[in-house]
Amino acid sequence: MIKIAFIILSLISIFSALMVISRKNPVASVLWLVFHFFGIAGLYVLLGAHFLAAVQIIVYAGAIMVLFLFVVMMLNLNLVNNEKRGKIIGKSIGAVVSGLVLVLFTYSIRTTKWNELFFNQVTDQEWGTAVKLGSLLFSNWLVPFQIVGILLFAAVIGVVALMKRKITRKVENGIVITQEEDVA
Amino acid sequence: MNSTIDILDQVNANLPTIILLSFALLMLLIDLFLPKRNHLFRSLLAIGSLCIVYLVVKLLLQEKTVYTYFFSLDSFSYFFHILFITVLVFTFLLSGPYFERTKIKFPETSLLLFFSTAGAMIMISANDLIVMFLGLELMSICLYVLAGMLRKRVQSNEGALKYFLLGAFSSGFLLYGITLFYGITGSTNYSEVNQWISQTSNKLSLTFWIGAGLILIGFFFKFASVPFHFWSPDAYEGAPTPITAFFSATPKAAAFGTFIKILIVAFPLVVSDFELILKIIAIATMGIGNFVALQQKSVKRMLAYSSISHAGYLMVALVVKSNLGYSSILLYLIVYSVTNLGAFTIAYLVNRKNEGSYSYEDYNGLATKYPVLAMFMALFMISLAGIPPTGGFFVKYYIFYSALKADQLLLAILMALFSAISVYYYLKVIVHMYMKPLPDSYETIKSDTHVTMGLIFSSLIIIIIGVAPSFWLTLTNRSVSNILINP
Repeated sequence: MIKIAFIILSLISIFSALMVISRKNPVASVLWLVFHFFGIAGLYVLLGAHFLAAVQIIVYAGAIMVLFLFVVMMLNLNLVNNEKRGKIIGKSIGAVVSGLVLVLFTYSIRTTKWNELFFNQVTDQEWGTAVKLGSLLFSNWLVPFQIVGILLFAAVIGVVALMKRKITRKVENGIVITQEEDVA
Repeated sequence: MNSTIDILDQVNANLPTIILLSFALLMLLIDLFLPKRNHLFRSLLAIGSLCIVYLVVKLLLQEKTVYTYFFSLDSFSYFFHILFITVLVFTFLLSGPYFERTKIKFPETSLLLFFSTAGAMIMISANDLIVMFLGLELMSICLYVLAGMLRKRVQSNEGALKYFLLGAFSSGFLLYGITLFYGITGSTNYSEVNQWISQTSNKLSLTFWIGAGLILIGFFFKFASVPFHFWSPDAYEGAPTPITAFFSATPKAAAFGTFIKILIVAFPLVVSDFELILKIIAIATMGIGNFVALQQKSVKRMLAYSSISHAGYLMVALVVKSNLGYSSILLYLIVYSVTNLGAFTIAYLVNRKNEGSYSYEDYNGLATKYPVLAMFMALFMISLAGIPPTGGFFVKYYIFYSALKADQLLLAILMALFSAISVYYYLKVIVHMYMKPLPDSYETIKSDTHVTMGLIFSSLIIIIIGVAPSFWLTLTNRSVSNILINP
């Protein structure tokens, strides 16, 4: 049963990932990416990482993809011209290299004796629930967790620093004039 | 997972970082109430120097070392903390006129500099791959923003975007490597990884090597070593010049320091297997860095490529993998950071006409008009080229010596050869300053006391290390040999 679910979910993920990179319309790509995230979330559930699956759907498929869609629509990107899409030689080199990497990774993952390794020692069935994860984050991992907070704060400051503009509004003869200038 | 994790110990181990971060946040609040930028500038300096004093005292007293599961505070991390804060203070000292000229927002810039320094400090003191990665990201995210601070210049946007995309890419490699490691060893802790390796040393699986390889690639990106160097010249050129100086110092030092720590703590048993790949990349980095630097017409780009070639010299010492090699890397990082900070400063002082040209012709006749400035620049160039009375010579000599001692004859010879080539483009600046006539129309160079102070300090450091190199080498050697390994 689990095996069938696994196969279906992985097929969904792989297929939607392929669709993401092959669509010409960016909006279609973004929508396929949402599908992809759902497939991955299903795989997380199969692994027992319930909290991660929920976060995957709420944060990625929900919040981030909506942002993506907004940005894509607002930028109104032109469709990529078919003739200017790189040379065949470059493409084929890329394909060969990534194919070799795929073979290498598959081989190494197949040949590693995973059942001798630590995964079989994980006996706690509830390791992926919000309770377990939360108590870990706020006990052992407290300081690294705080560092993540600092990291996000730095990112916010960075965005503000890059985007900050001074906008002044004046009313002249009944017409509102807005002026933008960089804040020094 | 170790059950005896003490939060208080972890806080203790991060004390310097926490002090730095709290000062940065305090500055953010105080800045709201300050009318003029100048005040903030001075207070930042005061705080920076305060931190230095604090750390120096700690280092000298060897008062306390803290080891926890995630962090350790030993003389190795102290050394790098002091280096990072020194670079930070120098950046503030040397960047004043540039910020006046280009009207970059100073408060945010200084805050981001503080944050990325904190990230570098976390990276060095981390004992765990995940925590190291968090520090790396904290450092890099600030750097991506800093690279694009000159919003209206296309070059700056291009460099920042390239830096961001390739940096994110390399973080992906690193993270995937860490994941594979966690998959097979069951831990991301340096010493637990080492333990696992020692238990299964004769039958390491292919997955282990792929994980290790991906982690190496992640670091090679950060070193800007050759197949992975494409972001660096553009990012260096596009960034505001004082920030470029910061780029060439802190991130590179942090990457090399962390790499040394990982090699010593996590990979002592497999380090000899990395020798070949490190060797090839070291040679390629030295070669391409130097040959491309020869052809540059802009001094800023020349310095960018020269920093690639310096990464190559540092990688020679990584191949040697002896304590002598590692401690000469540490000493090299001091000299190289300080020299680059000084050189970039003079580059932006001299290039006052239009941002983005930085041609050699700007230096024509500098020695007749501004003899002191020319002297400083000559000193920095001589130090970068590695000519005797300066610190730059001795650090290169130590790396050369350690390579010879470890029977790496080929690397030693190539290193000497390439640094001989590098003399050409460094001395070209000196030739322009001393032997070319002064152009007819000459604008005055605007500087201030902070810059003068900073230049004097940096040349003093270079000369002091050049005069008494062995004392400094014993200091760095002590730092390297006292890395805490799971006591």
